[in-house]
Amino acid sequence: MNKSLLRFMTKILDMVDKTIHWLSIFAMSFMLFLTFANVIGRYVFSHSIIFSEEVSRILFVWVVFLGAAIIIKDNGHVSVDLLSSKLKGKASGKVLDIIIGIAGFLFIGIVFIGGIVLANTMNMYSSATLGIPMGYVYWAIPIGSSIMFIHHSLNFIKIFVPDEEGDKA
Amino acid sequence: MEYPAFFALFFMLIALGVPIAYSLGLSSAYLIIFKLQLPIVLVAQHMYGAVDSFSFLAIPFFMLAGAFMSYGGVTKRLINFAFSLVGPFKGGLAQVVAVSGMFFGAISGSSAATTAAIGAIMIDEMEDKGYDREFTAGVVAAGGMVGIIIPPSITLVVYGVTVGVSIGDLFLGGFGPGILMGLSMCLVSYVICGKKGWGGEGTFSLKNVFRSFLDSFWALLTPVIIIGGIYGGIFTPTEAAAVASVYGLFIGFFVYKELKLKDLPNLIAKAVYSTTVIMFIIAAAKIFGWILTNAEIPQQIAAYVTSIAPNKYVFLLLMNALLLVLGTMINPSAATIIIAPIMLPVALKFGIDPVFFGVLMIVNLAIGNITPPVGLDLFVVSAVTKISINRIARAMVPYLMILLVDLLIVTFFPQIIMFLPNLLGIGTG
Repeated sequence: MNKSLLRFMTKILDMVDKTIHWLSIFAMSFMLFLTFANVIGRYVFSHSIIFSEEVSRILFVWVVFLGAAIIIKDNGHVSVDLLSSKLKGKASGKVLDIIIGIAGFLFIGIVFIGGIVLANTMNMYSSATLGIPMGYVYWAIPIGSSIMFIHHSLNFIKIFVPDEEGDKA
Repeated sequence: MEYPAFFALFFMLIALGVPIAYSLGLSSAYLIIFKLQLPIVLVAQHMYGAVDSFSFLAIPFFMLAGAFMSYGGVTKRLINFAFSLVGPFKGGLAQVVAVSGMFFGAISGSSAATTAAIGAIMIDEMEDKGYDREFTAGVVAAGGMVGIIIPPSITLVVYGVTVGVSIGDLFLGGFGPGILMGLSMCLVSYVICGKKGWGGEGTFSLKNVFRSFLDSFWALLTPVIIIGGIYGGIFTPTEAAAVASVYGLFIGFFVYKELKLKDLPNLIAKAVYSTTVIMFIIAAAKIFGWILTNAEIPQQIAAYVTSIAPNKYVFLLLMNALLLVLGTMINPSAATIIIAPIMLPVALKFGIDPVFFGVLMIVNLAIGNITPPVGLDLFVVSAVTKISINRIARAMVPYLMILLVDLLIVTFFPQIIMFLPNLLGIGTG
């Protein structure tokens, strides 16, 4: 693949990642605020925030599925790397990386397809307290998994193309 | 029968180094598509179902509480308090590590966080005072390990939510073994350092103890708020975690005044990503667990194990062995989410209390976590000290031995775990 194209894609992706990064920080802060405010509301003002739990759960789903895409960048999904650390740098290690990479494509693909079907089905329902179409909530899965797919592809390409440091030199 | 192939595929993927979440999802998908011939949307549906949980939100909140406090100047004060208690005795600083590990464990939900927080201060400190580097690294890894056992504990939250056991009871159950392990590590430090001639620092005085206690009072109040709040029926575990985080922000900004506003985004982002790693495994494990339950695998395993294990002690010892090995390779929350639903039915058949079983499980996984060759906590210490895992491991042998003795004691004397839950337990969620 053309290296400058790769670099251009990486740049766009960086912008997407940064957006997700800050959105996650705000979402997490908001969940914390809501949950805490709900406790205070219940005891101090004897009024619960009815939508607090539902909003937190919806945000949590989005944060997890978008976050799952971001952590792929640093190979953040936990694995047992006994074998791969032993084969690192060898030709067989490369083969192993390719196998692991393909497994990743398969899994992400399954989640993506399932997610699309699910989001379309759930669109006819609305959430319990807020009445939001549930499709909006479920879209976290296809959107999260498509960004996962992009990051996973970039990692996969790096098995064959040397690192960025390598081609600057 | 299709299930052997399913398990074979799962273990093969794990062994190859495919991420645990992917391995769980892929082996499940294989069964769903090719054998059960059900729609693939099931995978996404179960993943969503697992994440759509207010209870699991306790995980990031507890992470945030620990992070806010360690950046807010709490660690230093807890260490000072520990120092006033055990610093003056033989192997003083090594004992300080174990004691402050217990204190910090009571505000942090994981052992990696505890190890990192204590290590950041104590490693240099111990080297300055002439402790050798390998020993120091080993002590820190061992001392931080109780962080996951002493409540709050993220792994106990994962266990409680997964199998439906009261998180409040589990938290209370963690105190006994956590304290036992912390104190026995002090004892080992006392003996080893006595032999090597590493003495204590300063002199013991009640005045010092009192002063440093007052200084760390606000931090030490955290576990009281969490446990008291859950037990008093004031809030749910998730809310307790949120209150602890806000409390952490409060003392970081207004009491100790060491927390900076510009640190917050990074601390929050870190909690988000660490949570994502765990939650994604939990999500994928949900579909895996559904398949197991559907095929009545836990019941089959229960029937098989009860036929080969003559009594509950043999079963518990077998469990210990299995979990220790798993713990060396997989992160404790991931191991819990996979093993607990399979093994708890077996434990129940033997009349074992689910609270006892859960805490014992976490004790095992925590020990596994500091056992080479993989032991994840060792990587944390290795990264900080730049000492290879093998050399740290050698220094840790005496600590691992005493921890295994502790494990046996806890296995055969369930009261150590069950004393507090029995005393106070009312089974609140």
